[in-house]
Amino acid sequence: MKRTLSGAVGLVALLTIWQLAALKYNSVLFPGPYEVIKSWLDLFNDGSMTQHVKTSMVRFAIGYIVAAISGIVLGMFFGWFKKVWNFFNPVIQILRPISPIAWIPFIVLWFGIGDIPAVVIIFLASFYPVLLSTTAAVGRVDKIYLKVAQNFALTRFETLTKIVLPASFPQISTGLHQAIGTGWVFLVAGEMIGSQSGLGFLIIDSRNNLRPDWLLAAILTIGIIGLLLDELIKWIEKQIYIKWGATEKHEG
Amino acid sequence: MYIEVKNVSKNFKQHGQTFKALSDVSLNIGKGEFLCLLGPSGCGKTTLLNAIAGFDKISSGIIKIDGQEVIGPSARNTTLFQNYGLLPWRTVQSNVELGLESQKLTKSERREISDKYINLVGLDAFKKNHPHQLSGGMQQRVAIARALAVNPEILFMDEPFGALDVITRANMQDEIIRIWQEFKKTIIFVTHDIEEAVYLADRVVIMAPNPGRIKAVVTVNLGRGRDREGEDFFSIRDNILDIFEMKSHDAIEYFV
Repeated sequence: MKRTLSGAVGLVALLTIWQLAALKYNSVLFPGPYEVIKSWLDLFNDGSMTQHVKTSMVRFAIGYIVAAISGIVLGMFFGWFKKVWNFFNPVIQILRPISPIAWIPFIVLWFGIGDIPAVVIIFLASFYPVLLSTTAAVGRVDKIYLKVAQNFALTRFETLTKIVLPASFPQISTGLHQAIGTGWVFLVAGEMIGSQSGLGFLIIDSRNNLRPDWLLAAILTIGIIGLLLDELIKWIEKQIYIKWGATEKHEG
Repeated sequence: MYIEVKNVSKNFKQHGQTFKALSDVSLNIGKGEFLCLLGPSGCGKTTLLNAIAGFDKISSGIIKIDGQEVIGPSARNTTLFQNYGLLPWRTVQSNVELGLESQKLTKSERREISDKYINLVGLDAFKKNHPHQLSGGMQQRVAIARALAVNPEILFMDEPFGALDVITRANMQDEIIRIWQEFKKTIIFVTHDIEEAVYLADRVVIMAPNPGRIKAVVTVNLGRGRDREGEDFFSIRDNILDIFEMKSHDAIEYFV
């Protein structure tokens, strides 16, 4: 409760400073919160904001879910077969620090324009955290669980699905959490290339139309959705930790 | 004999040095027997248990159960671990059902079996709970129910009550005796607690370290419902202390 109150005070302070600062400058260069909120409502009322958000969310969901599933499946494989991982590890370590944006020319070349480039960029941004956290988690599964699996004569596949995956899930969820953040950050970049819709497109469109108020409305929307996504996954993570009984981990 | 351990040795390589965990161990165990492996740390009692259970490969010798050589873990035997090995993401009920899931049983048959064994260990009220919500003693009860649910012939127990407080431990000892008498399983029980061994076992196998070997086998000729404070209880305990050469020389701890 106290934390919520402090947060609210901080927000009000920011809005006040922003409004005061905006009074000093031309609104074409730096619109204040009042104008931005008004423009946001305009965009909302004519339905375009809802449309952009919807489009972005669908692209994000596809890119993120594909990254999560392939990251978990590959990570389980690499974590289980350590020797294979030793071959792939250096390759992954070289690919991982490359910003997804660097791939844009190739992405356009291979996938054209439209929905797919954005999805691919979100995928690239989300994939590595999931892959690496899964690989590490599977390698660190408590030996006693594997003994239990042997004890009850579980098959290899059963051991992976019934023991290894759930045992490493708390750690995998940390990777999923990280991935949702980076994935969302790169959504804008993905939608700046050749998209005709979405929040990233709205930013380019606002620039082309010289509408800084729309621009800030889009930026605020991205920030707020990012916050909500983070809260959502934090909540899911917490449920997992509660269920797994790992109370010692607190997300800060 | 039901279980035959013949001239078994087990070597570990550690830092380039060979370490003899078991040296020429031979032992016969009868069906339905309650056998305790007793000894200090490093005497190879857990290694011997793991070898009979099929978790560890032996360096030489042979182990047979019911005439068949042990080459790996078998679904016919189950092991109980000191830290229980319960799956924290499963409820008590579905933990107990783990071993049943690979058998050809319908869901309601599984439910029936797990209900029976949860009832047996007195945890009816906790079926829907997760392991971390239970005390250590209750968690080990869940592990016992899970082990019994697959109807094993042999129960291997690796210091199963080592992490429990004295009172809970005494209760669990009575409980395991009751279960053993009711289901007539063969139990091989590893412990470093002399009184626990005397209280539970038909025979106590006393082991010594460097290299791990059997020093003596003591038959406990006491009826069931043993008196922990009885004259004959103490005399067997003293006998074992003598074998460990730990009596009266110095008053060192007898469990290491």
